[in-house]
Order: sequence, then C-alpha cells, then structure tokens
Amino acid sequence: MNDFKNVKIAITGILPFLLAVDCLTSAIFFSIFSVSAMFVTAAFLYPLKNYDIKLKYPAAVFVSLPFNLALYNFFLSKNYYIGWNSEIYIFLTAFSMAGIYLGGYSRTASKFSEYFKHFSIMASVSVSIFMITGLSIELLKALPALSGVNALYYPGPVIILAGLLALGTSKILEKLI
Amino acid sequence: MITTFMIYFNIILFLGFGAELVLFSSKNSGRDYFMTAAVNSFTMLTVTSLFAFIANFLPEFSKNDIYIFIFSVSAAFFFNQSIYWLLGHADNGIYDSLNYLSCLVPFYILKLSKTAGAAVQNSFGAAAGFLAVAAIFFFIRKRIAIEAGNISDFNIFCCEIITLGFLSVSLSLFFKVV
Repeated sequence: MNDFKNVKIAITGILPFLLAVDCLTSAIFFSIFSVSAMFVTAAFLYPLKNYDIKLKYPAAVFVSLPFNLALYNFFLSKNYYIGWNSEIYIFLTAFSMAGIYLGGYSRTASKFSEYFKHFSIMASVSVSIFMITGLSIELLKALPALSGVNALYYPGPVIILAGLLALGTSKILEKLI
Repeated sequence: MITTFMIYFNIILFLGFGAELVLFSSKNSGRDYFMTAAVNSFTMLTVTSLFAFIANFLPEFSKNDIYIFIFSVSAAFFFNQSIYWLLGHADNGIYDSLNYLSCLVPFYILKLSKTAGAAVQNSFGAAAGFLAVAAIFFFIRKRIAIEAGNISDFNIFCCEIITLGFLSVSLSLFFKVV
C-alpha cells in the first residue's frame, strides 16, 4: 500500500480525459463515465480471476462499452452538456486502465473487502481530480482579469495540475490509511 | 505535412496517451523500455494503416464508431502479442499490450482525419513523435531519480508527471500548436 500503485494507475488512466473537461458539468459526467467503466471492467474480471487468459482484458473493455454508450445516450436525451468532442471521448472512457489494473489485482487479493477498498480508493481519486479540475476551470472563468484566457483548456497546465493533485492525494492518503 | 505530423507528435504527449508506457515500463532496463515503445508505435501505425486500407473497400464499415473502436482495440492487442511472441520479449504487464497508445490512438486518428491518406500520415507522425518523447523522457526520468535522492517512489512519480506537463508546455510553445 505504501507505493500507492493503485493511485498511480488511477491518475495515469484519467490523464487523457482531463483535457475533455471544459466546465464543472463535463467534469461530473466524465467522472461518472470513468467510474462506470472502472466498475463494469472490474466486476467482469473479478469472477474470471482464476483463468489466466489475457483475452479477458480486451473482452472487459468491450463489455464496458455498451454501458458507457447507454449512459451517454441517456444524458444526451436529457439535453445535458457532456463536454468537448464527447462523441469521441465516450468511446475512449470505456477503456478503463484502473479497471484493468483491478482485474489483475484480483488474482492476488486475499479478500473481497481488500479488492473493494482498492476500487474505492481508485474511484475516489479519479472523481476528486476530475472535480477539482472542473472547479478550477470555473474559478478561472470567473476571474475578470483572465477573461477569454483559461490555462486549463490546454493540456500542459492540466497535466501539471494532475501532478500537484497527486502529491496532495498521497499526503491525505498517508494520514487516512 | 510537417505541421500535421508535429501536431500529432504533440497530441500524443499532451493528451497523456502513452503516459502509462512512459511512466510504468520497466524503469531500469533501457532495452525493455525502448522495445515496448517501438512495438507499440509500430502497432499503432499498422492498425491505422490497415483500417484505412479496409475503409477504401468497405466505406459503410468505416462510418460506424463501434466497429472502429472494436477493430482498433482487438487488432492492437493481437498485433502486440504477436510481435512480442516473434521477438521473444516477455511483456512485463498487461499494459505493454493493452494501452492507450496502440489501442485508442488509432481510433482517435481515424475519427479526426478527413481521408485515409491523412490518417496514415498522422499515425506516422504520432508514432515518430511518441518514440521521440519516450526517448527524451527516458533520460529526464533517470535525472529525476538521481536528483530526488531518497524520497518515496510515489513522490518521484508525481515529479515525473509535473515534468511531463512542463515538457508538454515547452513543446507546444516551440511548435506553436496552441
């Protein structure tokens, strides 16, 4: 637990999707899609933990895709704003790096509670980074001095922010766990 | 053409696609690291070119996003596994074969490119770009590990992400992409 490998995977897994976040609403939706894909992938891989076949991992990605598409169509039909280029990103979020990690971890997890704890940590880290990025974008939008310029629309500052949030997360987790 | 290639070169780095390969591939062995990066770049190029070729004969097939996604993920996994098997290279984890770079970048390029020829060109730029970034970052990461001294592995990981962000900013300013 000391090396926080699960947190590392969770943060690396959401890096590409942070760029699609352009307001708080899209941050909420992308965190829902990411956690949904993570949950479906992990739930699909857990019963297969005793089968040492690598094909189960791409199969898990294909299983999580319809769930994400169903969620996307549901929210789209309610006329919510889902984010920049969401019709491409909804496919990309179906590929959950964290879910695949959990699938591999299930082979060594001694108890289901341990597995669930890992899932909860990864999901909460992903959601909090999405939400903080969304809130920071809203905050920068609200500053009159920066009207029209928002650094967090660009990838470099978003990746730097994710790194700083990772540092903060590790400090919090060290105290909590 | 150079501009398009350079944009895709930057996209790979900017969007964090390939970050898991850059950050997680066996840290100490340069041979394993570059082998994994090269195999995945080659796979990405092959999958995009193959789909662009298929799209010429089956235009209806290429219009459906679900087909493109399923094709790119399954073909990338199959190609990666086959190349590792041919080279006798033991993939260290599932991420060496199933990752954002080889599975999702072909989908991303195929969706954003207007023609099949442009998709092939862009994937060539992306593959070359990823290899260049992986090579630069290999030496930066070694330097970080030396400079960091005895801080924890997770803090080194955070420093690596922040450095990746600064590298992204500097390259985007250099190529005037944003």
